[in-house]
Amino acid sequence: MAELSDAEYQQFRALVDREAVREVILRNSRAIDRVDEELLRAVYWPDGWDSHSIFDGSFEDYVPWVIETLNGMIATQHNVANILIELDGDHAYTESYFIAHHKLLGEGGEERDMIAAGRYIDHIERRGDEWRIKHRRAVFDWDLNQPSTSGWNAPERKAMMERGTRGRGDPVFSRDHLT
Amino acid sequence: MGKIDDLLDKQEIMELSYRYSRACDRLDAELMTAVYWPDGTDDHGAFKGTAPDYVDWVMGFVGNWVSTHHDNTNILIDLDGDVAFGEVHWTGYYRYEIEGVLHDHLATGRYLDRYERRGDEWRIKHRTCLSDWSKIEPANAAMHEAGLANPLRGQRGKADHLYNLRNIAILEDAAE
Repeated sequence: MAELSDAEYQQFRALVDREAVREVILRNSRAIDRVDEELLRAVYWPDGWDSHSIFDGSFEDYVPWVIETLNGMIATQHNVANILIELDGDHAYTESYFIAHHKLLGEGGEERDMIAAGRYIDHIERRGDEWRIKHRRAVFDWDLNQPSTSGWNAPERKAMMERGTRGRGDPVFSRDHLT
Repeated sequence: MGKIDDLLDKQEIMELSYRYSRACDRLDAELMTAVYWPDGTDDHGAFKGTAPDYVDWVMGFVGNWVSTHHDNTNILIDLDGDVAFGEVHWTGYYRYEIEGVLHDHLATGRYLDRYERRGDEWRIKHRTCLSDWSKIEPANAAMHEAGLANPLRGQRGKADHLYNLRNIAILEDAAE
């Protein structure tokens, strides 16, 4: 990279930092959707803070709360779309749009869908070479709640496509099937 | 710089769509105006005209709705010097009243854009908005109803947490 001017090098570094910050946000979705505490602990700083609609507290308290909450659901998928990042040295201030799909059990044991739209407003901090979430505010914009109409759970459909699972049994954690 | 320049250009162009969504969803006319060149144009079907007139029109159009949320996903950009062309997939989550009943309107479509660089800055010169799919149904919004007083509820306008993006340190100090 010897041919880069100082200004060009700074631009290049900003691209690399931005990508690292973006991946922190995406790895959070992986941790949550696979209900993987170890991955989640690698996404936040140990002295981090999380504010969700019905939780506001230290990351240390957030972990057991969110794991228990997720274990009360059948499946989730957190899609992150628009990510706008303001970089300021070792600090990144970000807004990330999310759509979260949840499969839940209703009071009568029936499957229900809950879809929530919102935005993560994050302070992501670099310590050493690593970026992690220092403070997350999950701002809630929209929700939908209705009985599940999942056609893919019909027995004849189940063979059509492999199901994602929670925990390390999910195919994302193994590359054996990709050879 | 070659390929790195291309990355930087694409990054900047991609952020135009994100800022456009932010502006629409927060009803921020100033922010939306800054996404287009002043001599830019927009074709939203129901509206065809100049960018400044579009901003006025769209703020009025969605201003009476309860909320909007625009996800931008697949973004493909072709660079051609100081001009670029883009296709941007969008999914819109809209909530508004129909005859006094809250409804959800979900829609997908694409923006077809022409971008121009003038000086160091990229902006939209023309945006055409296409609709590909939609559905409308009565809202079943348990969290919406329950969360009206929630401090983490999204807002339109400057009360939203977005406008406190960098004041997080103050919140952190208060929490410690």
